[in-house]
Amino acid sequence: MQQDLTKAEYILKVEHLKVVSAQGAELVRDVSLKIKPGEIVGLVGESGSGKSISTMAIAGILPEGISIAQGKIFFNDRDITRISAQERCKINGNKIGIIYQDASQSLNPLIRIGRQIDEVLKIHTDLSPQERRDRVYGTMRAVNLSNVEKLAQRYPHELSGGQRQRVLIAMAIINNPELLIADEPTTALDVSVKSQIIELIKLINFSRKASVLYISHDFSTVKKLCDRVYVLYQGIPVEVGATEQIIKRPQHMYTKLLLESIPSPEKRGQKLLTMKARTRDYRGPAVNCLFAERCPKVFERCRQELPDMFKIDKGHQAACFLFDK
Amino acid sequence: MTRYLLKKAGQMLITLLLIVLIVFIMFELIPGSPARIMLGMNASQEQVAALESELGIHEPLPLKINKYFVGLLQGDLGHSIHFDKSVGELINEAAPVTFSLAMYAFVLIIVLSVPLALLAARKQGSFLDNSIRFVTETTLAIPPFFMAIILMLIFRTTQLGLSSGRGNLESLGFLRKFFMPALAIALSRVAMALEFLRDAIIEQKKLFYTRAAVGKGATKSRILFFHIFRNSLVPYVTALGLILAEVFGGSIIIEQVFLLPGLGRLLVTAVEARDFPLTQGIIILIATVVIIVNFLVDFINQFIDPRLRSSDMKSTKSNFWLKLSYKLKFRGDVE
Repeated sequence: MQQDLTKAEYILKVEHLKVVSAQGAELVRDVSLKIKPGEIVGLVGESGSGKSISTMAIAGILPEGISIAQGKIFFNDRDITRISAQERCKINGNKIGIIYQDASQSLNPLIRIGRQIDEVLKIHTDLSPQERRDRVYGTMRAVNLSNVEKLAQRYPHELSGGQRQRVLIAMAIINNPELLIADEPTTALDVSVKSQIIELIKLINFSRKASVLYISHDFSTVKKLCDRVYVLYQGIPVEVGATEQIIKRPQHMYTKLLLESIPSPEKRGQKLLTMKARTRDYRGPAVNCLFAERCPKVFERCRQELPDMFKIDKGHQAACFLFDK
Repeated sequence: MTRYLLKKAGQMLITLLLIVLIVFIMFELIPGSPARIMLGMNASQEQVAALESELGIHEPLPLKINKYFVGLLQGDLGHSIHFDKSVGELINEAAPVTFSLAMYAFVLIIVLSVPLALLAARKQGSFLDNSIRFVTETTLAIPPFFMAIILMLIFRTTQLGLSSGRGNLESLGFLRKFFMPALAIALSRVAMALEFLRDAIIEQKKLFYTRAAVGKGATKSRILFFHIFRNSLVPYVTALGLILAEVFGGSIIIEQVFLLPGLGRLLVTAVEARDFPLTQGIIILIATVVIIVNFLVDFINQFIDPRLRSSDMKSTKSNFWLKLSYKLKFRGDVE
């Protein structure tokens, strides 16, 4: 494998990605995002915002019937939007590692853990069985699994949820990928295991120099982990910025309300703010601000046009007409 | 594991005992005296009575059952009335023919159904899928004996040298001689085996771990063979177990068409002659085979799917539903 001498500026660049279902529903409307080498980028949104579908599109594992309608995905300056299945197989598991949301469904129930991790090495490397075994055990230890020789002989259903998630992480990082995609890896876990997994992803980012795309609906984990955050609403990013900017000075009403609704010790005794419920899931083309129907500061223009990203600060942008100056 | 095996063996033994008992009592209830048939219509009442008492027909039932079980334990299946030979000996002569024929047909079913199921499952509802299923379902609708006649006509006119003659069981000659009867049995069962494997593959394809495997960089064929195929085997093996039992039933009829000296012919002769010991012996043998096959199916499935090892309950439950669905699906096709 030859290495590019000139490192790309962005490890991942997504431009105006649009993903539609066979029935024509727009699951992802217009997502653009960039990840620099070594960066941890969060993608936040409620369920149905298209965050998981976006990552599946990036990894080329969209379910049957769902396809990319528009836009381009660049990985290391190379267009991987529509590469062949063969080319895809060379990238996935090797340059891009993926951690899935539900570990119990992502592992083959009939194959021993060790063999499943080993499979990634078998596909992408020419190592001898002995070397592969050492590396499997080494990676399993690196993700804080203990008793690895024994564990490798177990089947997925014999492991705890946290162990399974670690196995998935081991599978994703064993080939030292340049990009690690973590699709809500902590959702199915309890709180203490959650923070351990977050620390582990941080460590992998630091020690293996992997960029991370972290998908979550949970601001509390994003706060701990990410350098930059994209807030997604119904398939369109509504606010982008450094994590601190987003958390401390959210500008878009959706982000504000999302942050307000997180319970915290300071808010003890106060009533949490809640958003107006979504009246329906609109899946047609976006013609006006999609958040208009739930926005407390809605005005005439919101119902007529689709807002662009307006600059607020350095690196901080929001898609709201309030910032159109 | 040993505990499980012992438990299963115990279950098998109890099932077998019950079957023997039921078969025995059933034959007691059937009217018609074997002595009368043996001696012919012209025999006098006294002669029949003498033979009946010699055969022990009027002994009390518990005594007869006791005698039969003691015999069974010593490996003695009784004495055939019609052939005047020991039942064990007669079965020994006929069983290899039936067993070879059934195994041959069984292997043909696997050889035909696996590649066809893989092809059909490639794209659900595609032209290929529909045509494979249409053809196999047509052969399912044709009864094996009729299929045998069709095959005979085809092969005779095309001069392929596939005789339908009485076979000896030598390797190559056997494969050729038994090809037609085995195919006649197999063709009527391929559809079922195929359907179960195809459905299982399609079901597995929908599961998330197959997409996760794409995320690992696995190629399509790797995903199909390393992941999906193996995971589809549990319902397939269960269906195969049921099919194997039916293949034995099927070979009994086919033996008549091809004049093969197997258990089927023996059974028909035995029933016609009211030869109760022989009939019982054959039925008990077939029942034993079915029970052993069922046991093997459970055992193999546990070997394939480790999740079935942890709890017996789950495996028997899922097997039950599968068997039920099998019966419902193919209920029109009972021999």
